[in-house]
Amino acid sequence: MRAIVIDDERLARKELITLLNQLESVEVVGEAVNVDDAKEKIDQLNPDVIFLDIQMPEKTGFELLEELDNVPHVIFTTAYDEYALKAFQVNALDYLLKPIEPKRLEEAITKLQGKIDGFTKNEENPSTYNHKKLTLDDQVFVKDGDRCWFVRLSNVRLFESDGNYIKVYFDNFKPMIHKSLNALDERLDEKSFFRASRKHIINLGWVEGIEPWFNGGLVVTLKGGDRIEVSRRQAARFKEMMSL
Amino acid sequence: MSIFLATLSRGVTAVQIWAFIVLAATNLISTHFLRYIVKTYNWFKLSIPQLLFQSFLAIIALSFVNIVAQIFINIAFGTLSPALDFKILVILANLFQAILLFALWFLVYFLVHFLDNYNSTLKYEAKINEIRLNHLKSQLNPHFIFNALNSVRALVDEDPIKAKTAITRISNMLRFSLMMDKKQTIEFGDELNTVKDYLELESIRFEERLEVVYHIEDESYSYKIPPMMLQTIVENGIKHGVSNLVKGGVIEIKCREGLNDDLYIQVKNSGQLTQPPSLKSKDEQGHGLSNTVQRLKLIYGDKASFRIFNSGNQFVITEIKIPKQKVTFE
Repeated sequence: MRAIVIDDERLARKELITLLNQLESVEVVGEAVNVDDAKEKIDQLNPDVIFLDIQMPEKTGFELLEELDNVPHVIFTTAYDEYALKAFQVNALDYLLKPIEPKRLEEAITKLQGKIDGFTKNEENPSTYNHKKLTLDDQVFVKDGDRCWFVRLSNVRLFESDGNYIKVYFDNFKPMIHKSLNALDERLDEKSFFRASRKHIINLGWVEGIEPWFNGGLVVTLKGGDRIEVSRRQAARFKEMMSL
Repeated sequence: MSIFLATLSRGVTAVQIWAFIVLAATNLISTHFLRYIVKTYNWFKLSIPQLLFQSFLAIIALSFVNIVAQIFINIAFGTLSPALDFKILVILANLFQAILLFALWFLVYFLVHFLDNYNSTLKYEAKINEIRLNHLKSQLNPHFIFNALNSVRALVDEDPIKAKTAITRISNMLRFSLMMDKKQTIEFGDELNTVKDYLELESIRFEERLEVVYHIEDESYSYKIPPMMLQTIVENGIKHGVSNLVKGGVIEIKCREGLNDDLYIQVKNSGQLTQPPSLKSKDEQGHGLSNTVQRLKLIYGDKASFRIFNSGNQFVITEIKIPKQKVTFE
């Protein structure tokens, strides 16, 4: 398991790295001192897990996650931050309290290892990591007020643009992320996601029914009942894709 | 009472004593009834003019009842002498006597009640103030304690001697915060030492990102200040200023005596106030400054002051002025 440690304090990083080096299953591949640094290192090194401090100068750990397209597994670290602790507990996120207890760290790693093993079994083509497109197995981080989620893209049925934001539809939730639909469209794997119109990107795995609509357009029904119109221009492409 | 007075002039008989006792009982019952009325209709809440008016009516009514009762008692005991007791003058005199009597009763009753009430209000307020002050007293920030302990853990391998010093500083701070809990003001020097311990510990955490400067005039040491107040201000400077800057910054503490026997404490930190911190209500951002303002007010009244403002676009200055003498209760 390849890890990056993100914390603005050198001694805190050093302490955690010392602890991690004692565990055989973990290899610390890098460390970062703030959000921008971390973004760069994550893109470069593609870690399996990041150990993330919440309170950092200028941008918090949560902000880092919101900026990342593809979020690795995250274990939060904090000394004592009531707001963060509440967020961790409400959303059942993995976190460690500093000073970190070695036993707790080991438990967190074991738990995470189980999760990662579960993932890789499903993943038929591990090399998908290399090209930069987001696949169904990648997860994004979504925060909406107090609530936050790590959402696997396979669970997202629909992206809907709304001003400068995108509504992410999954389960019973539709929180917003601050991104443009065009930028997202470029990052998504076109085998799994389809740009239905200016406003919508749908997850092809969730398509349940297709009906013809006015002017040569289509209406797609998703599992769960959402009905999305496919523009005429895109309808031709859609038919082509689905017929394959 | 009137019978009692009357009997003094006429000499006492057994019947008269009984009549007197029954009348006393009647009066007791009527005043108790009055008390019941006062309590049920909550006359204590009335405005003074209204209270006076209602009391006046009640006194008149009761006095008439008293006169009538006297007459009936006299008839019952056969002590009525129509020639004497039905004279207008005697009835008026009796009425006047009864009015005086009940007025006195009212006066004493309300006086006792108000005094009692006033007393408990004062006690209540003092208690509330004390509770409020205790609540406002800043405690050591747990986030800081755990971060400091975390740094020390790393230091144990890297620099054992520095780690030992750090542990001593942490215990100094813990002891200080436990001991100062009950005091309203403490020696300036004691507070400053704690702040120094605190900043040394933060320097271990932030390393080259934190620079500390002191300008302390010697006169400052003759002052007493509320415990943990300077500490809170410095902590704010770190939390909202220096720790938010990637490159870090400066904390500068200046203490000097003003012209009128007051102490000016100024903390300058790198950073900017983006919005005016709310000093009155509970601030969700956790500036902790509204607490400081309230504490100053509770201890010194209007003689202390508090300011926080941007100095240029690089720094924030927090300034408090503390008088030499305390103003409120000990």
